[in-house]
Amino acid sequence: MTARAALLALLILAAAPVRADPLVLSLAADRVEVSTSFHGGRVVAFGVAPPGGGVLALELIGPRQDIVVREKGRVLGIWANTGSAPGVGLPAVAPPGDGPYRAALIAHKQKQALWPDAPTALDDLGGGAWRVDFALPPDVPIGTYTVRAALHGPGGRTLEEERATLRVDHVGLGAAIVRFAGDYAWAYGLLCVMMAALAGWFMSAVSLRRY
Amino acid sequence: MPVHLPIAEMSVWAEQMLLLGAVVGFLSGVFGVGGGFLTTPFLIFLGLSPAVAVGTQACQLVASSVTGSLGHLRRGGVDVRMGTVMLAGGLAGSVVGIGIFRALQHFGQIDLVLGLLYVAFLGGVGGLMLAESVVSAARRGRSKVRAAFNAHKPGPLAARLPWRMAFPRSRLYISALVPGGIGFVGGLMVSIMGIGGGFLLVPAMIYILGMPILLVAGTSLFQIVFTGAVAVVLHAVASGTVDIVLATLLIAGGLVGTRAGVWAARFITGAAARVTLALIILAVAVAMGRDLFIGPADPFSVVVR
Repeated sequence: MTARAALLALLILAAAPVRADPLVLSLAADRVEVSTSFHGGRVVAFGVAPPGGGVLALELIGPRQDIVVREKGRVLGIWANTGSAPGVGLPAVAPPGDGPYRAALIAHKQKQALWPDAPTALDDLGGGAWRVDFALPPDVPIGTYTVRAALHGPGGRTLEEERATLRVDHVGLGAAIVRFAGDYAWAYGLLCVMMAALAGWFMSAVSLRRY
Repeated sequence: MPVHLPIAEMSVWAEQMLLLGAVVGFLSGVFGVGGGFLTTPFLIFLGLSPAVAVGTQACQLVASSVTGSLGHLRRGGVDVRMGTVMLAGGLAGSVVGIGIFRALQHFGQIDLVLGLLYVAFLGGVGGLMLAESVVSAARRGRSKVRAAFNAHKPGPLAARLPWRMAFPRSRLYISALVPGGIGFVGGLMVSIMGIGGGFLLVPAMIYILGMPILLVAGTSLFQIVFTGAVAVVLHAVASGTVDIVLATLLIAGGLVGTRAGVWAARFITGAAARVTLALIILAVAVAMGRDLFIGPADPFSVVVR
């Protein structure tokens, strides 16, 4: 189990002598738009590794979340939640302890196609240029993401590091609904009721015409 | 077609939700049941959080009870005065129910309590329906039960308690506390389970209040419209768990399904249909009960706060 609290992680090996040229990191887009038809997306990062040695590692780090992991146990013959472990500010902080809760959390995230175990290789475009595609699953959390590129020297020492941030945001109708429901919850509730009542009335009017 | 639900923050298949709405609508059209008892468990089976399932289902409940109560109003099958007294209790029940729901969420026991309530109610109602269908099929032709329903008189409790009120439409002079109390229980069910609870309100109104059977269904639907509406607004304000996109899909499917169900009701009648409904209800109860009694596939669950 990797202890890295990274949402997605990628690694590449590049072998050349170490030089003091800067590491370049850039994103194809600084925004991933989650519309109502969103069914997974991509984050494309590219850049240039300085001619030199070292291991270039790229990480996509998701927004932090407060979560609770709960465990069911048997109580009077019924399966109920009997234990829980909180995790604050994930994924930056791993859940406390090394016990079953931590393993369950990682398994849960991996089922959602988040927190992969093994890194994938990135595209070497030649001349030190590279490109990487991170796949985002359909149920991706909304928020600010960070892409971190780090050049590691011998012994795991970080030689250079670059960061770029991007937003995963609702757009269009979805964004309008989320904003309205957040800012004017009462009005949003009433809107839902009115929509439902109108549909109910329409149904009643339609059946009346026929019978 | 995948649809990303903005409030639930997850991706679902639109066809799946339309179909769920249509199946539930079909059952409403054929049997006159609200169908919330099917939607909420199915949404939870499909991976939605219980909070979004209940909050959104309450929205669909408003649509189906508006259709139902308008039909009964046209035929004069609503005791508005009785419905309003029940509604007063129902509103109090909705508010208390939201509080209980939030507390259960906080302690992480909402899925347990929902599971137990569904197993108890659905198992009880499905079992009774099945038994009743078998018994009435055995002695075909005799309708003593109907006769007993029509010879209405107020139950002993309703006649004795204080704050008596006249309900001319139902030809009753009973304590307002009893219909208010029944409404309160209905309000609790709407906010906690997302269902109208007609299967519990209707017998209570017949046996405890002694209302004429012709007024019972319409009056119960009339008060469910308003308790449901209050539950939707409270869920939207207190927990932000009403997804209007999901509600629209369920209601749109429901419109088509109800229409088909009303049409099909002419061909589907009698004991066989009632046995079918009873078996569907029992199947949902068993599915909900499996996780509770045999044990869940995964004992761990992760909740984002």
